[in-house]
Amino acid sequence: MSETPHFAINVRHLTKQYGDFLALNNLDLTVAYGEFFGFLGPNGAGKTTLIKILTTLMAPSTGEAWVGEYRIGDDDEAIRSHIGVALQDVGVDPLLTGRENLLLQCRLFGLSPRQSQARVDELLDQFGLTTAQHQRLRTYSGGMRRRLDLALALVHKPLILFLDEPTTGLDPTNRFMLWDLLRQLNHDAGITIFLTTQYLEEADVLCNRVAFMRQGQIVAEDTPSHLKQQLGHDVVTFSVPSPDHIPRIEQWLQKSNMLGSVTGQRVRMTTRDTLADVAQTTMWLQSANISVEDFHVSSPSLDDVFLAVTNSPEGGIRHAQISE
Amino acid sequence: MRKFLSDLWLLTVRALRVTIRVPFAIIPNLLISLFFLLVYQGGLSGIAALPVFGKLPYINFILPVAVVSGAVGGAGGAGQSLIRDIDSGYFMKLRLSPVSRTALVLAPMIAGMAQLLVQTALIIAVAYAMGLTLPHGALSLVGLLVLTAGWGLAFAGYAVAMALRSKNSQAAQAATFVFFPLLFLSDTFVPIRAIRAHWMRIAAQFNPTTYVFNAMRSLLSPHFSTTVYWHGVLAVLLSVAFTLSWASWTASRSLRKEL
Repeated sequence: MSETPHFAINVRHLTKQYGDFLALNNLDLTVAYGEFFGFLGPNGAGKTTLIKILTTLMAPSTGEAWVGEYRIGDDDEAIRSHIGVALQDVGVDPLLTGRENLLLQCRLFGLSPRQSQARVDELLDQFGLTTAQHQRLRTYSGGMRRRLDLALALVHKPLILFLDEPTTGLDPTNRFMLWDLLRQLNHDAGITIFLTTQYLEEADVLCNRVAFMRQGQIVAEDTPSHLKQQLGHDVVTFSVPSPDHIPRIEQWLQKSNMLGSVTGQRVRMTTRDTLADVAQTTMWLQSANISVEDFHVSSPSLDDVFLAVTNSPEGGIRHAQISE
Repeated sequence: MRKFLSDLWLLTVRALRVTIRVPFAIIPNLLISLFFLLVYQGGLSGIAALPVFGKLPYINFILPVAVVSGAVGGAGGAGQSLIRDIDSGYFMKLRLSPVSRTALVLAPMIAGMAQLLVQTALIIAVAYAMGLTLPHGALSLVGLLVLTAGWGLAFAGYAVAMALRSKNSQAAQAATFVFFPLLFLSDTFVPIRAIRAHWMRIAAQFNPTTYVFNAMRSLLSPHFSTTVYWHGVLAVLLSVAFTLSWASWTASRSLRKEL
């Protein structure tokens, strides 16, 4: 039972090993009650492994973790009663209606029939599903299914909500709608949210604090604004009209020791000294007789932090240190 | 215990509701059983004149085949229902809730039992219209339903174990082909002593279905034998014990935490 009830999530020296592969490497992490915490990293960084351990689906190799006051491995059933989980793959019964799905979930979480009816009405209204409540799920759009899945995770009013890439596959309208709902849940209902996402803009907009994973370890952890400040450098982006120019640009980036990456015909550079680097770049482009389009100088985004902390040198992008 | 019973009830009702909403999963199986009854009675009933049948009407002899095939198909629905949940991601949602793990596996089996009892009642009703006699009245009927439910439960255990083991609908469906040797390597069409191929007589003696058929036929014959009936019950009990243990072992492996 309780050792560290002050945190919603408390992970200590957590390691998960699959054969020779270390998915989580001596991980330490705390998330306070009420936080909206983003857990980010490239595919295979260990995000899903951590979520599976924290939601009782997987046992760690070594180390300890508490969710609320309950210790993983000792109090798994209590943990399942107190958390809400919406995984990347929506988990709804397609042969039941939206209302039936919610009612069953309420009853399985121990609500009485009367409490269940009231809670279902409340959730249907909150998630904009009242009109479609009596329809079977085959008539629901992807966005509606996702909202229902989230509503199912909330029937028992959990204090902690785990979301594994909740907006993957959603169109922008549904994504923004879900963002609003998540903000409400965090701000108004005070639910602690632990989110993994591929969309860094999403983490930037929603999360109070984010952690970047790389090879099973946290390599940066702070508020999104602090992380961007710590990166400290503006970003230059431009496109070239022909892919023929790309090899020369890559050579120049390497020769001039610029931090940059190339995606298709688009070049993205992290500056050290904005004015000097912009001047050097434009001069070289002119001397090389390369015309450019969409030349922009902007503040770094979480994407830049992500690239800086998670990409290996083999990936063609140099590693920038993020001080913690 | 109260939580377990409540979960079991909720999940069984839900499994039944879902079963009713997928009629294509029930109707073909029922139709096949009725087809067996119709075709075998129509095509083979003349052989009932052979002394080996002891004047038992052929519809009374062949009914257990239709009933058992219906039971096996109905019980197989328990496995299919689990596979549907695994494929839709709903099984994972249930695993993430505080629902009883035993109820999670038992509910589709109970729903499968209910489905097969309804099917069996329908098959018996049709057979009755075709001339079936119940020499021991309600005892024949109840005894038949008990054996059918037991045999269905044994097959439901097998279907659930295969579903949890394979987590794949095609593999689980393929596994139900065990139904064919179970049904046909037995005294399906004629009494065992009238089977000409020696190897088939041997196979029939080792096949538990033979004892279930014989027990059912004893109930439908004027010469009821307690020994034959109890042999059938024993075959059912041993099969249930085996497949439910296997299902329970498979469930505990597939529901435990990933290591």
